[in-house]
Amino acid sequence: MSKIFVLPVLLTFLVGFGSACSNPQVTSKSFTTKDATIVSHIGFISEITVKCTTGVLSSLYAELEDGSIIPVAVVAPETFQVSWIEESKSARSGQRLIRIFDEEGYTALRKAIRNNEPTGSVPEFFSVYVHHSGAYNGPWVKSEFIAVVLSILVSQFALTTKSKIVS
Amino acid sequence: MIKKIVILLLATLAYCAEEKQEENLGARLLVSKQILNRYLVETKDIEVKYSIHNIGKAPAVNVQLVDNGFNTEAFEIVGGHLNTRFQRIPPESNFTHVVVVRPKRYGYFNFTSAEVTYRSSDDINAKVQVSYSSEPGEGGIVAFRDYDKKFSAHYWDWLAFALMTSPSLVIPLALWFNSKNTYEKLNKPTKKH
Repeated sequence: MSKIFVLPVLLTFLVGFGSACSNPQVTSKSFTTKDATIVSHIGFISEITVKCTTGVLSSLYAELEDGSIIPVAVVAPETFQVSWIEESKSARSGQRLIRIFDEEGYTALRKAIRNNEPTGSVPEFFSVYVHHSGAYNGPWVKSEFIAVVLSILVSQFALTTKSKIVS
Repeated sequence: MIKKIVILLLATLAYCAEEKQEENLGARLLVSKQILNRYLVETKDIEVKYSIHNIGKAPAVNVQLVDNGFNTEAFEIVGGHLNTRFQRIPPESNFTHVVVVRPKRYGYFNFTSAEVTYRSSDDINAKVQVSYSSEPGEGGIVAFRDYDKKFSAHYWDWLAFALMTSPSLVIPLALWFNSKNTYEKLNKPTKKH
């Protein structure tokens, strides 16, 4: 009786472990908008390719630096996309860490949130960085300003020299 | 006969109630499509944001977000993908999906809505819902030349202006400096005597 009961349980475990992704090889490339004169928000896009040695990936979730947890988009086989936006004024340049969780990790994460525990203690499946090199907010000094300063300097030189000659 | 009608009516009512309950329990996705640009400029980034809200009580499963509004002839996709799938969207959650495209030419363009299909619960037999995002509407894409004329730093223009005006300033200055030097040279020996 006990044998009959144990076998299906064991099988479910084996199947469960077999389908999970093991030893994932992760490559990522990121894209951010760089011209803040045209767009009002900076878009952060990370494209992640995950190759599993065995098994397949089920749904993935990402934890962003602001603590929000979002589902990861599947854009092609083994390719995923995480994207979000930030206000162009408050978007600092540098690296952003994204922690990616699989279904199990997501459950643990939800549990941690429910119990008011820090989410950092939940181990992530893997993590990727998104690099933002800073956005162009227009020229530092307006060209009109430089032109005005230069013309004032020239006219001052001319006037001082003239006054010297006259005196 | 009356009994039959009453039974039929009751059955219809029960069916309607059940359907309504199912609708309330299932996932419901609200999708908005927004263009986050101050200006739409030819060959410059256009940022498209899709906000997805699941206002239902169940997770939306196998969510396909497809936007056929940007054809490859007129737009180049530089960041993100227009055809995406989300395995599960948890209930009462919201998130964004961002795509960056660059228009290849200028002119008026109609930004249409994206299409979303999803299963309203984990049940494999659950109803497949089709919904459409909001429509940003028509927008005018400005030619890069016109945009540059209005908003560029104009450093080269001012440099050209400085170069063009410099002869009228430098030539008299050089002449005056030259004559000053010659007169000073002539004056110097007379002062010594």
